Amino acid sequence: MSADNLARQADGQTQQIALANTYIEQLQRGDSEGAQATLASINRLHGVDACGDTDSELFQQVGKLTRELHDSMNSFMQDSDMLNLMQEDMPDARQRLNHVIEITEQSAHDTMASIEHSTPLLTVLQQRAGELQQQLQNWCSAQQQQADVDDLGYLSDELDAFLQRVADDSRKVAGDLNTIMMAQGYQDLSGQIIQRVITLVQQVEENLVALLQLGAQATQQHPHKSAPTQTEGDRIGHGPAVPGVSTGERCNSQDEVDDLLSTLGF
Amino acid sequence: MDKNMNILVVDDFSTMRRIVKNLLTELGFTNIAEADDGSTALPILQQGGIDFLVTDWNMPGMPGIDLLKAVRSSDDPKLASLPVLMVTAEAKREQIMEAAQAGVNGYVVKPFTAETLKEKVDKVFERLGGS
Repeated sequence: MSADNLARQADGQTQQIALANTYIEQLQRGDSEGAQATLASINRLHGVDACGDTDSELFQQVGKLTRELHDSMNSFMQDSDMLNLMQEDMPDARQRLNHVIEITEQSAHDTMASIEHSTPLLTVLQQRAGELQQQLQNWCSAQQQQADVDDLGYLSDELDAFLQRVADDSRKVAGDLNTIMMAQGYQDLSGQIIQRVITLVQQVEENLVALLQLGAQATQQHPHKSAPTQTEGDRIGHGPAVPGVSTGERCNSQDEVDDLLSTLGF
Repeated sequence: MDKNMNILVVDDFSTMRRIVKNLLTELGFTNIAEADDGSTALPILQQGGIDFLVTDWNMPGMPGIDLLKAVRSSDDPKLASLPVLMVTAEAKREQIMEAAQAGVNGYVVKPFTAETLKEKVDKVFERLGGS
């Protein structure tokens, strides 16, 4: 062994001893992160001659990346509204969409029920109108051959009853048509609810994009958009009531609204 | 109540505007204009000639509550005292109180019935006629 090699070996040993001391000190202090780094240095020093430092470098890099990613994920979860979105808003959205199914179903049933109620009324009126028209025509032709006056009395009674029926049933049909019109209010209410779910999906999308960017660049800070405050929500509106989704104390009927307004002098 | 009065119906959903318009027509009103949010309604109101405003709350652009406040704070005394009926799905107590404080004349929550709308319209003009 040359003098040069001997000197290098001695130098390496001194360095290793120094590092080992530091390592012990760090362990005693409880500085595990520092200790890990020191151990890595020892390994590197030790491994220079043995197998090269490529593997340990790689491990170190992976370790560093993992730690950074872990830290970033933690801070991301803390200051993004992702947790809130997942824990509260998503179940809310499911409830909202279920409610949309319910109100659209109800409107469709109301519409069908009105149609099913009106259609037979109109069928009977149409049928009876045809019969009476036939009888009237018969009477008119019989009139020319000087028919019975009793026939006229009978016919006039029938016509009177029919006209009464037309008046009554028209009112019922008009009522059904009104019900059908009011049932279309679902489009506004379900539209408002769906708009809210679209906003939520958009927020989730933005958060997922931020999460992807985080994976690509562990230390990069993502922009954080906060949800509207309660007062802001009061101004722009909360949308229709959805069972199981709370937006604070609200009136559940027109009567409750009227009661509240009457306490305010209305 | 003058059935020829000019009414402005403001709602972002055309189906709801149509329903309200049909109901008002059924009640005998003939002059009904429409707008789809506060910011399109306000210029129509400022032009003058509207006698009764029926508005939704939750609309993109300018919400109904802001439209109500803009109307009440108008320099034009006729516009500032315009009768306003709110027809909305917003039913939080705070919001109803806010609308009342802002000077709304009536408040109808969706979904509503034809009778409720008629009753509230009647009440708005009854009270205005009485005062």
